Amino acid sequence: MTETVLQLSGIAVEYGRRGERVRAVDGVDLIVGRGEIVGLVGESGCGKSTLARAAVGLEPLAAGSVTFEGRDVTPLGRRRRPGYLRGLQMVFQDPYESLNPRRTVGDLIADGVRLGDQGLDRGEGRGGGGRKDGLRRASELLERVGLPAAAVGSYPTSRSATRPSCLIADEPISALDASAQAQIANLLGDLVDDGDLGLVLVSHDLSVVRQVADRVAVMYLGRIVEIGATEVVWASPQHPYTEALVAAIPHADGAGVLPVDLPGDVPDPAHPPSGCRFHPRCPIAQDSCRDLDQRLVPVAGREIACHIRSGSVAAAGQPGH
Amino acid sequence: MTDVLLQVERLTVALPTRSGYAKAVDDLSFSVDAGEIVGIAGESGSGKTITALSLFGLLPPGARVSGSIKLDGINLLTLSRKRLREIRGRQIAMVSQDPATALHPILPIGTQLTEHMRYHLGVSKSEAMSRAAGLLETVRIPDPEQALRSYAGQFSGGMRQRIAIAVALAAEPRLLVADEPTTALDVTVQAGILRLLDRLCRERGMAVIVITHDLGVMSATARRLSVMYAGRLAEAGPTSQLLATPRHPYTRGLLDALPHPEAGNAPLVPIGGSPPSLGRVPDGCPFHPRCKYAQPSCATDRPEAEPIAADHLLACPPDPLRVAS
Repeated sequence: MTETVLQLSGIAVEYGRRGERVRAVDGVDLIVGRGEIVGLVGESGCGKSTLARAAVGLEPLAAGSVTFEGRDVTPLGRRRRPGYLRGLQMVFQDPYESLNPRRTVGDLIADGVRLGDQGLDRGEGRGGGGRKDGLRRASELLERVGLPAAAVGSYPTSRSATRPSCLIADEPISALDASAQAQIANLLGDLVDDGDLGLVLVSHDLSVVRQVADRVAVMYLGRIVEIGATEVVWASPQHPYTEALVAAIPHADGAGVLPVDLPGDVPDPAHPPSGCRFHPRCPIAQDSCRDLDQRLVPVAGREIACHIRSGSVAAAGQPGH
Repeated sequence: MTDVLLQVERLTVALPTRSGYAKAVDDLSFSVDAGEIVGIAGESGSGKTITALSLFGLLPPGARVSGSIKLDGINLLTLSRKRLREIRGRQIAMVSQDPATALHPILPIGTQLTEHMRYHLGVSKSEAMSRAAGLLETVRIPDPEQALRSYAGQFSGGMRQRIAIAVALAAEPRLLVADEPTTALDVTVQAGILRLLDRLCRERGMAVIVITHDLGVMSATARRLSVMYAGRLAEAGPTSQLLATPRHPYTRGLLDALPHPEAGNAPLVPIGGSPPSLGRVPDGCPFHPRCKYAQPSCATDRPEAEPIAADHLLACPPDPLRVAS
């Protein structure tokens, strides 16, 4: 086992909505090792983006803890973000909103570079060098993300990095064309390999995650329902929800096979179904699924939260809360 | 012999740019039979959306169009605005990529669904409302009666896209143009919408043009496929043939960039470089700067789409992917 960079222990995130408490993330454990890519997949509304924000300290926790390199990631207040957290960075979902359209790409990336270097060089004055150094490194970074260095002088649509040791990337790829997706997917793989960093890749697209992630966690309505080595999970999904996600992916093989539909939508997290939260949409649900809370138990080389498939009573218990 | 519903011939659309007119669509021809799903594939900037907009007379101001777009033999490009309005919605309808903006935020869903039904079909308000409820049921919106009184913002993205499809279907069009209809959606919701489109074609004999960069979606739905690059046709033919044995290096490149379900963890192979922007399309074959098979002639001679087999067109004279027989 490699060194742990990021550890989420039993975290829960709640927010208020029209007087109700909505638990968007409900008791998630996740460990990210150095040099490891962990994929986090699920439909919209499953809490994966909230989990990502909580992991970098952008959401207050209702329960549990997040530690980065052994130190507490305290949710941001209005205070300055502590320097030791500079190694923990987030790439946001919408490339159009996360970049300031009135500044050049080069300046935007250079900002990150300068801040990141300040973090590394602390103790040697301001460190990190000026705008020129920043711009030079920005050109290198742009070439790594497959854009011409000349783009430094033009205006946005890209992403940036600050020599982090853990990156949380929320849907960095899904809005792009196939070829651009391939570029970014390969880039992420390379970054992790040579940067020795941990990466959490959040996506609704299991086929993208599968290509790059070492491990994958499947989320449904605030909880992880299956987690394990990517090829194990992909080759023989055990949780019925993971099965449905895999079967819904259309294959570009020209066979003309329609993907398999999973009826229904993700339920409102303010009123989660009792017992197993997937039971109203689950093709193999039994009466017991309505009553029994599910816990992750090891099955066939990964963990799943389904007492039908695991055949285990340990996977289920009376509702805890 | 099937009926040709839509026949697009030598369509060329030039858009005004700061440095003069630039061709966003260049000499594109394709046809759609009644009840058939055809696909138009390509990266962003390939001209696929401009092609769709030209069918509806919704091109940006100043656009110059030549060629013909014939629906049942009537050229849409020469129709008056009034005649075009009668055809839009009634004969051809569009579903766009973004379900968030396709629906009006402060009109109830019921009003949006019955508006063109009443305009085009002349049915009474109560008749329109009951048809609208039926449509919502078709696209699998739970509790249709309640949904008719609700507003777009009260639905999830997947449900909004299904409602947008219901709005497009309201006047029973014969051709639906779906521009990236599922790109913003979860795979599970996407699967539901693709199955819905397929069912509507089979049950109602409606034809669909699916526009997307997602070859998986194409493979699942489209019987025939046109691959566009920089406004021009690169390759066209039966989807099964194009995806199993692509002949244009660009089609091959798009496929190689996809994660392959059976492949191991081999790195994806992106196509080097980026597609040209409007007005900066290279001479010769527009794809030649990114093509690993490019020959000197590719930089000078503009390739025409030529038939290489029954129903298979290829715009690549060197044809490097031809299997030697």
